[in-house]
Amino acid sequence: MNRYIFESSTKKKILYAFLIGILLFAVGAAKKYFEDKSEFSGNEEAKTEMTKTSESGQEKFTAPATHRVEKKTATEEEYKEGSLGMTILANTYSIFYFGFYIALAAMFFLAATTVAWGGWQVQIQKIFLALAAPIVMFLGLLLVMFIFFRHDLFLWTHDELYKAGSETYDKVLVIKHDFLNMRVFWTFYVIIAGICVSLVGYWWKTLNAIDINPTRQLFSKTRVIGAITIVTTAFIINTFATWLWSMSIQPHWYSTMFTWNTMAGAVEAVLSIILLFIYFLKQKGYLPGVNENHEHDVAKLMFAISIFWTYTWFAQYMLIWYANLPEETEYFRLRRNMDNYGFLFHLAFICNFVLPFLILLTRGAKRTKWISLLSAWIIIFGQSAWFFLMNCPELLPKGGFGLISIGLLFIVGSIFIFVTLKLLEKVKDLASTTHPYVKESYQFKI
Amino acid sequence: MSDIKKYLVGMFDDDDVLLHAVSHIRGAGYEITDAFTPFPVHGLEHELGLQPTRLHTAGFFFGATGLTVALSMIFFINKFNYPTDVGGKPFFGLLAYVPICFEHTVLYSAIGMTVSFYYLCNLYPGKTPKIIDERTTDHLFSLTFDLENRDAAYISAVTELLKKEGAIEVYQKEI
Repeated sequence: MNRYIFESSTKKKILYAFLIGILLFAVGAAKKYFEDKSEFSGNEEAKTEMTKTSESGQEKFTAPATHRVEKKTATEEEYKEGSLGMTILANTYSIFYFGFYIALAAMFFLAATTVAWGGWQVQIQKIFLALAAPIVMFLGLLLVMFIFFRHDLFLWTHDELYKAGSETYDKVLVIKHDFLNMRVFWTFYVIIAGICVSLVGYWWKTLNAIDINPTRQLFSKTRVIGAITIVTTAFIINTFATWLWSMSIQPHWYSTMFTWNTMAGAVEAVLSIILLFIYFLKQKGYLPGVNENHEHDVAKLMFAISIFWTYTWFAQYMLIWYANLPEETEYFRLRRNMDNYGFLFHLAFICNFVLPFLILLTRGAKRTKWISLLSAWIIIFGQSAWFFLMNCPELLPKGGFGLISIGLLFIVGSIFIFVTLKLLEKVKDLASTTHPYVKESYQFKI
Repeated sequence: MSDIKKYLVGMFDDDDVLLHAVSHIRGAGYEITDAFTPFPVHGLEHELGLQPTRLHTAGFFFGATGLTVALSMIFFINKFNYPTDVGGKPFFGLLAYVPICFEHTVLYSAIGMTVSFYYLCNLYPGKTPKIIDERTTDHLFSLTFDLENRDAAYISAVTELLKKEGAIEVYQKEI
């Protein structure tokens, strides 16, 4: 039983999840559509005002306006804040970005454990590999987003902002224009995509070659690739991906903790997903050598990284508070505002820190299946909500988390799981029984 | 003095031998009072069947005390006693006090747990510790058996077992 067989019953379950996602998405979209319609027909005055002189109308509409709202109305008049199209676009982008980060975090975790001479993870490292490989798919999806919707997503892509004397001239963005321009954007897209694809390819080839012919050279090669993965993730992929793809959605705001926070959240989420996969595969009878010690270790890392995530989350707030930077409080004003995102903001904090912390605190809880699975699901929901909160509130200042987001999470999640299981099926040796460190994994005890 | 007790002491010079001896002696049904080693031996507490420590429960209560003290003190000072306007920020911004509260929690629980640990190990001031054999602080390992209400047959049986399991020396000691 060392090759995973993708049963049709599993495929059916994934299809059901996909259909539930479509259903939720359709219901959410229909609800939003009728809400928008009734809002505009019920408020005829506002509607005519908005279509006639969109700038004054919009400003009246969103009184505590951000920089973005003001600019946006001028540059794109047909554009409606919080409309159905924008809600779908922002949610889709956020979920693709989340998927990209989960795959990246899986690759990073694979590299980190390999470089640290880890032995315990050898039996489950094929799960990391199969989770890392869909990064290619998400890079493609993000590319589509960037090609077709970059002007909707990123304010700084509009040329009018940089013309001196124009109505929308933006001093702050002119200073940042050396970095935030399309040339830098595409250059780093190509660099990031190239590195990610080639690294995933190398990992895939090397780890599968070890299954067939475990030699010393191949094992050393995994460590070299691991070291390269860590360094490039830290200095190129993670930093520039967060700066250009996520932080630049709100281009006037920046934070040095943002990159850390994103990666910590992604690692927290990917560990929860790995735990789900371990229990799923064990339930099907695979991975005979994996016992509660390995599960305990994954749950322990979930617990630890959840605390690290909170540290960066809090430090981001704290730096703005104590360094006395009122111009940076915009980020939290938009998100902690109880009218739109305040509830979700606090819910995400509770789901990502408070609940996992309290649930996973004791040793027994980390070794119990249902308790650790419960906290894994909580973390996955919490992190998807947090990724939404990092990307979307600037695009949807009036609120937009709802059935559409949950539906998209189901849709993209089921596709992600389908691809991952399809890749696991291709792996020749699911438990890596020929890896030089596999004995350490068998005897692992904590 | 009433707290003088009589012990049977078996000395070992190897931790692996000690570990096996402990499991065999406990398997044969004899109760080991305590083991003394010059360094922590992995798995020994498991073999001896010791109860898991309850020190962390005490740590939780010390930490909760520290958190309460920090929060109430900051609240009292910043809100009532000496409110200071710093750049227009609120007088009691709860999130801003997280680091101080966290550090107070850690400080109280660390000091409290250290003190309780020393107290539980009989290491408070004015206490003369009982050392069964001074060589256990340097290079030898010992197993002790409480000899209260034990007859000569028990002593000889345990002595024989200890010698069989590789003890280099077995003797009785009153302390």
